[in-house]
Amino acid sequence: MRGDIGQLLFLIDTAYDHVSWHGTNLRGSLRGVTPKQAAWRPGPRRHNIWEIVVHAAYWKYVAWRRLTGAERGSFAEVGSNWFSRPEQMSLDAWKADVEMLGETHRALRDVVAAIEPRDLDRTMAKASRTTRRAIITGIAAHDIYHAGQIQLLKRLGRRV
Amino acid sequence: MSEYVQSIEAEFQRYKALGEAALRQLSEDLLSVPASGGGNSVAAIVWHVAGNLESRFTDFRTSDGEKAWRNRDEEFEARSVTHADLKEKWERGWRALFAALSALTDADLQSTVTIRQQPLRIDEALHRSLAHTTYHIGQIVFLAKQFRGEQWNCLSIPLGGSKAYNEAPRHEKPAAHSRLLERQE
Repeated sequence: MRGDIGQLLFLIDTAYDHVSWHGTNLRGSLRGVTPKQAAWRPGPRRHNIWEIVVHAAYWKYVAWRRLTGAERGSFAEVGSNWFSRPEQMSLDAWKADVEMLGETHRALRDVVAAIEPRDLDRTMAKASRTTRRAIITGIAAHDIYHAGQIQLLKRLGRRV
Repeated sequence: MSEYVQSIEAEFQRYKALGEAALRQLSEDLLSVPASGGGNSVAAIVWHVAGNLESRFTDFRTSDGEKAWRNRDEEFEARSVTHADLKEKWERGWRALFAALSALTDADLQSTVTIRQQPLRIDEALHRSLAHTTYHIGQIVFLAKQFRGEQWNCLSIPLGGSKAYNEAPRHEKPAAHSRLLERQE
């Protein structure tokens, strides 16, 4: 059913940047965040907002890669999962990483929109037996999980 | 056919397990400590998540999701709780959710329920609840990690372990991830 694709697009869009009942989504949590705020850590070896942004972009890329069957290695950064930030403390560098997050979301969205509904519950050969539907549902939940953490980081960071 | 409902339920299970793996790492005295700057304690967030789930999913198809007996403001009040108190409250919310989900099929998704008298399609209600729950579980994990510091037991791919994990990703499915978390102490 084509409506299934619409539901999944709704799910990933509201988790990322569309108006949502549940409150702040991932992109909304970044509104007005400065590079200094983004780089603040609540403690040693703890992730900052900036790193969460790149981490979220990476997992959107992984979802895209699994849905397309693309080979590994085409993410904009070398490495996987978590990436040390900031490399350069500047507004341009911060904006570039936020934009990378947006680009990976748009690429993922395009792939989801093009899925044939009959394939949604078929497993992906290269993705450890996970269905396309599960990949898409999972990445939406991942965005919101980290949005909640960014909201806490912003509040904690204001007090230092 | 319940693929859609099952995929939503699997994500709920994943985040329930994540929350529980974080809660297990906290000593009882830390459950009620407010977040730095007067934010919510872990206990307050658990009360809120569980209160929300219990209200939304008790008699899910036949009554409004915001129950008259729910006192949302009270969920955020300071409280001193034991692990047993916490578990009891937490499970009550999740039980209501999973009972409601078990009665649903994908054919029900376009039907409507009401929350605060506003009609809402069931698929939208499930999305909202999944988002609300994962948002706050992200905060529970964050606070638990903050409290535990260097003693924190990683709940996902451990630092430095990404390459090895990518070679053999065994915990991608929510159920597999949940089982991994349940084995952690």
